[in-house]
Amino acid sequence: MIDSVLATPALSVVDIRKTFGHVQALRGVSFDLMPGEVLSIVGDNGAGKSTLIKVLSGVYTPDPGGQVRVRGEAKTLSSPTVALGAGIATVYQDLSLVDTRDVSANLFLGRELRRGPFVDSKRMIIESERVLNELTMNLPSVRVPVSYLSGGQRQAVAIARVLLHGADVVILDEPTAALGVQESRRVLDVIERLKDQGKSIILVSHNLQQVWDITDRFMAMRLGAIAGIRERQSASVDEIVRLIVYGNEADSPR
Amino acid sequence: MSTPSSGAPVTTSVTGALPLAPRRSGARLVGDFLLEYGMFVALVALIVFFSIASPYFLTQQNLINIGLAVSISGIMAAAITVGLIAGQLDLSIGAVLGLSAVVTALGIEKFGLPMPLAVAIAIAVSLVVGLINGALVVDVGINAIIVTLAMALTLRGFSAMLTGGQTVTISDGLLQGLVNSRPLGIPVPIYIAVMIFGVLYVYLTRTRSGWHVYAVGGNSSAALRAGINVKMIYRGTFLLTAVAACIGGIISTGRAGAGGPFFGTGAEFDVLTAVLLGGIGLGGGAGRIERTLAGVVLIGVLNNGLTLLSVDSYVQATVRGAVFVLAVILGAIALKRRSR
Repeated sequence: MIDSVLATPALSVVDIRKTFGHVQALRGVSFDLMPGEVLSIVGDNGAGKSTLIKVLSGVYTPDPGGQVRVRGEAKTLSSPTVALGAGIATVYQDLSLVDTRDVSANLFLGRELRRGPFVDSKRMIIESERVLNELTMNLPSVRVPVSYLSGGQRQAVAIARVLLHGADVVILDEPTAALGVQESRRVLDVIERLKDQGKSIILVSHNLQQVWDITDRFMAMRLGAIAGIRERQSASVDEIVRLIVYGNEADSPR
Repeated sequence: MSTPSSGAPVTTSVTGALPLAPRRSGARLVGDFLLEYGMFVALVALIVFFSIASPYFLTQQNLINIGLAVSISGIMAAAITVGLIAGQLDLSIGAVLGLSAVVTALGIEKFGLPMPLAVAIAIAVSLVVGLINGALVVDVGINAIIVTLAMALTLRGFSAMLTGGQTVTISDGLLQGLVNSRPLGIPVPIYIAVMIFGVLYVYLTRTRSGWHVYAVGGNSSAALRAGINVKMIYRGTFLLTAVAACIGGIISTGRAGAGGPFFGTGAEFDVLTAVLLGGIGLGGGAGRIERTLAGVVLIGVLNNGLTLLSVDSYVQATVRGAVFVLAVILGAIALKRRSR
């Protein structure tokens, strides 16, 4: 793997905590994410996955004390816009697409290119085609309204938008949750392309089998803390499931 | 320009390529065609029919009459189109038209203000109305239809209060002279309407802010996450519709040589009929202003043709109502198809 060569992690999370009233949603989470790495965060409902994701995407402000470093630089992720500016982009589960607008308008939503006082549709179309080609995504045209696309295609458009934003770290929240087997396969292919481009990817998923092949490391969470991080190559599904359910091996039966 | 023009198909290796959207059946395609171009077919059919039925229909004078007749509702329809694309419906336009007519007429006649100042005050008043509409919808969070309906009631009463329910006749002929003049043989209101359609067309299709109007109407939370100022877009549409109605009121006052509190009564229905015929729909996020223009012209042609054929006015009113219902049905079907 390449992480031994590129020593600086794309993202370092150090002792992140988040409390809501009496509830400790995150109890000191620390991990590194290397360039070109796919880290899958797995865990039961209430394990703290989405709280962690929301901290990293700038939706929640963590309790003071912890640190988030992007390429070695400490960042305060005070809002989604700030997080995006720092190079962390999140593809939300609802995808945030405007169904009535075409693919290219969605890719440049809120960041439309301009020439003089007017939008530069031509350049946006060319750029859209370029980025979709990079993801080997096949569309009849980038001028089709997004509502005409299938679930997998929509997911791919949302991911392509992240590429256009030039983010280094891409967070995908349940990218295959609402998709059939074949569609899921294709979305995973698109994620593979992202990885080929050196992006670091955090996947949140409920389906271990589905993300197994694409994952480099699994991070199992339980009760707001990391139960264990395992290299996929040397791990078994059973081992990960045990981490999710029982936490550290020390506590687990047998 | 709406067809996928320069979109050279994005194709590369077939591995991992996503398939096309499911194919549509033949009946669906016919349905889509009718929804997309049915209004243009109807417009052409009406023009052909009236041309044959009446020798006066295609005369230059009559065409100018049609243009003049639809210019005021056209100006308002153009603005309402922008509002509906953003997902906000302003039903107070008729009442704002009446108020503007009263303010302009009173300003000139009762307070002896110079015409441009009276007009400027009318525009300022309409901007305040638009601001209040926007604030009630955006900041207080009340549904736009309720807000603007209440505003319409209030303004009608207020306008009538200002004049004691009377229509105020203007003795100074400056405004009349201006509005009724015909440079190159074409009445001024037509120029104004065409200009407003042109400006709003460019705004919607070529500016970032115009694209944001579509984004906000299509998916406001996605627009918000993309950093678009959703509230400002909403506020802007209410200002726009109010000013458009005000311009309508000033033109009405100039044409009539008077301003009354009940000017523009029911105008919102003519305007809505035109806009819905244009397939703008109440769902937000979609629609093209050139189609609104076609809808406006269609209604003008229908009204004019029926009058030329001396059709009884009660029958005309019935036809107008039926067309409105038809337009609403078309809008509902279009919305259903989109959100399938």
